[in-house]
Amino acid sequence: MTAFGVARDRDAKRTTLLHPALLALAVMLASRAAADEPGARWAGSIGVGAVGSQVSGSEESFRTQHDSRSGLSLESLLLERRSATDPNAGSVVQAWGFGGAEPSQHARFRWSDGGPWGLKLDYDRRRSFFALRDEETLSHRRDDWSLTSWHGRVKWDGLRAATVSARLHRTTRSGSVERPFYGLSETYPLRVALDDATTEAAVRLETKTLPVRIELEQSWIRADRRDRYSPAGETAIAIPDPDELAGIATTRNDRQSGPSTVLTASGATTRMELLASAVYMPVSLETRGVTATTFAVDGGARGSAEMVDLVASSADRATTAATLRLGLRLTPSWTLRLDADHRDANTDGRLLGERLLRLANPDGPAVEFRSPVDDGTRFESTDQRTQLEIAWSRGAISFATGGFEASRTVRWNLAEERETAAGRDSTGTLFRLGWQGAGVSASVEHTRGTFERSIFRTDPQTVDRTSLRIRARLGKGWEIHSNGRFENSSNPQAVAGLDHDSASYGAGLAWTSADGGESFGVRADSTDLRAETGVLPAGGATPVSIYDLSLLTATAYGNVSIRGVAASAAATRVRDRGETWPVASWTARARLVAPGPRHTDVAVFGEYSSWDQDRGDLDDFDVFRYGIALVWRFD
Amino acid sequence: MNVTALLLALMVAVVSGGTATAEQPAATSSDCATCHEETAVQFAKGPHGRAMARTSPETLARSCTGCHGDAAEHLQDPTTANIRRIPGPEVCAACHEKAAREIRLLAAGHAHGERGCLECHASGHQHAAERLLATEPAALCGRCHSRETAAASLPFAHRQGREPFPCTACHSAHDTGAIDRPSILGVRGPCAGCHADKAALRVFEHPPREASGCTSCHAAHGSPNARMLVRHDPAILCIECHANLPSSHDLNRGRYRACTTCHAAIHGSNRNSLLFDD
Repeated sequence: MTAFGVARDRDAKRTTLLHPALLALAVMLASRAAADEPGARWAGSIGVGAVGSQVSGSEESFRTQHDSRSGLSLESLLLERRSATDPNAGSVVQAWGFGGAEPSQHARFRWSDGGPWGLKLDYDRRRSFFALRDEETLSHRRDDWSLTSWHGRVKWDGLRAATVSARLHRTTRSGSVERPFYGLSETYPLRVALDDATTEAAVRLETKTLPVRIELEQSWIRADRRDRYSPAGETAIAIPDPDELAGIATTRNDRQSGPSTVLTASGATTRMELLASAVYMPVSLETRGVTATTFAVDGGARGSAEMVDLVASSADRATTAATLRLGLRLTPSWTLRLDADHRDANTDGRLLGERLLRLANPDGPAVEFRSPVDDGTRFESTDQRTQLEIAWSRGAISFATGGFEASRTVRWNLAEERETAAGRDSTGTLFRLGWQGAGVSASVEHTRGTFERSIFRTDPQTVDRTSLRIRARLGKGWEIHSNGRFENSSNPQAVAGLDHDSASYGAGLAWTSADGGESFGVRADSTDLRAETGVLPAGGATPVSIYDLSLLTATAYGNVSIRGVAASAAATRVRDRGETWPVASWTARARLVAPGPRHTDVAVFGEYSSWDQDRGDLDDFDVFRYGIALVWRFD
Repeated sequence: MNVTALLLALMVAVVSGGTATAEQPAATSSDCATCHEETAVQFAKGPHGRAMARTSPETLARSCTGCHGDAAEHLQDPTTANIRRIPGPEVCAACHEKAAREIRLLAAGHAHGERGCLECHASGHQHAAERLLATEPAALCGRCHSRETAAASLPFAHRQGREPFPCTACHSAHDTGAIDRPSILGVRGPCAGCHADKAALRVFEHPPREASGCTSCHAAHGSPNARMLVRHDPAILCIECHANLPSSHDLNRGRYRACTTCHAAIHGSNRNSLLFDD
């Protein structure tokens, strides 16, 4: 990583090395089989595919939404070893998505000695993408980064009374983000080269023989962020401006570290069930480094303005949280449930350093203005929620009602100031009715919450939520399911005139054959969302911001086997009929798998994606992806 | 006093000796083998027979009458009317006390009506699968739970490599612990046994308490949908509860229909209320 330059994409290098490393591991394991214990059973499969694509319209818009590309692909790798003497002992390797054609790659390794030891290793990598067309200036944001996660866990179950495990987790993010940057009263394009890494190590103890099951996990986490800045262009984005962004760079490193303790207790008898947890996380945060931004005033004709931030910051944040869930079966029909949560986060911060403004005139000496910074801050937020519910059930019918109370209190102050506090309380009620008969279940639930005061003007003061679910097994493998969720949140005109309505409902029909080998289903869903928010008036009438979405989604999917050929397909049609930005899209996939010679399967597949906006066609696309894969099975 | 005690003892001895002399000796497996030779041989080779032999030869000798009842009359007149041909659950409970207690209390569905132990278990007279089951667990459970066992053949199901998990990996027919017990709180079912990291209580939970835990999103026995989800399109599943999204989430764009790209800690987070990370 250079101090003022673009980060090297270390993640890409690791991935490049990882693909042959994984394949080498697979080959090594396969060859190891030849020298393995007599009778050890090896089985598995490896599938490799090649994908091509035909694009009409905006390929960049397609990559923005799906990021599926052409090239080779490791469709699947499965390698399984079972001991000859102990069927519970063995290992499994799985991998899929490698090769570049797919936006995410995954690998899994599982091992067990058939006794107390077990090992899990997971690797996941996915690309995040949001690459707008070069000429697009609407939101001026481009994402092109990847997130890689390594997760390992070893478990020992050799104690009679407890299980012990250890876990190591590392996540890294690399790539770049381009976003608007505000300076000199205008927005300029900024490129951020990402270099974030989080490492967490934990040990865990779970009891087995105590009447109350105890789980204790102690972990340590360290997160480092070493993002680096550079201009993504010189000129202002929105409005032509003579001032140019001449340079921006940072050596700033952010670090968060600290332990985390989680204690969970759970126990149950025939009449009572208890779950309780407590979390304590003291975290240290530290930021050191320099950020410098330089503008060429009037293209440099009038000199330059440089802003240098030399402020270092540190903070200690302590989070405590506790959760309690208690269920009491009072009688065979009556049940009482209590949920309680408490969460407190307390941050003490300090800023120390100075900010420097340097103005340079082409004809004269530079002038500096220094502003020392020495301040402390304190921020504390406390959330509490308690819910009590009484439920009754007899036969097919069940009923529940209850209420909840919650509060949020936020306190903050700078070192020299008196503390300021804001709070928000809420109360609510809930009602649930259910029916579960022979193969049919239905439920309806309604909750209403009212809030006192707003911390932000867009906080709702009343929220109503109604949910419906119906599921029915019709026999001979048929099933229907339907659901609906209707929500409204609002606050008075004097606050922001918030009126946020959403309605999501859908129904589906599915069938599964008696042996599970074939299935199909259809489903239609409608999602309507209309959000009206009063904008702060500049004078005269209050304008209203409106976002209107009306999505209709229809999906059909199925898999069937005919004379040894397995076919699967799925298609989804999405239509947005809302006022904000109406659009229609298709996504469809089909795959045929036929047995080939010498323990192989041959698969051909096709995918179709389309995007068609009602207002304009700059981002429209029609993309057809096709491919062939060969799967070799061995055992 | 001593003479009285001696006389009383003598009387007891005579009476008990006379009684003993008058009683028929209890039938042993050798007696039963006179007619049921093959059955007796098979039983002795099976798990029940071997377990009884390990206890003592006398226990094995009483193996037939222990389940089929007193055979005194049957020995004289061998008909099906004077012998307990098919033992009921109370007979098994005489030895398997703990299992009988649990199944009555907590897995009542398996103890209803005529469905006794021999509905699932073999008696030991014939070849049996592991744990003296009448047949392989999947076929056995599938007799009544055909839909669930068929679901194990769906494209996405619990498998170890290519083999589906046995039913007993998650379920206990007798109930052997709290994890299988019908949950009063409706969360943390058998999934927590293997997926402890997913089912763990967290500061910011998901799914929330009004959902029915893991099965609100996942079909535990098998699904045609990836990750065993109950919906083919994951975005539709999320929207069922989260339709009230901010306008920055343009749902008609593919990016915002891949929710877990950003909300990666989908099973809950100790650090971020929006489930951005774990």
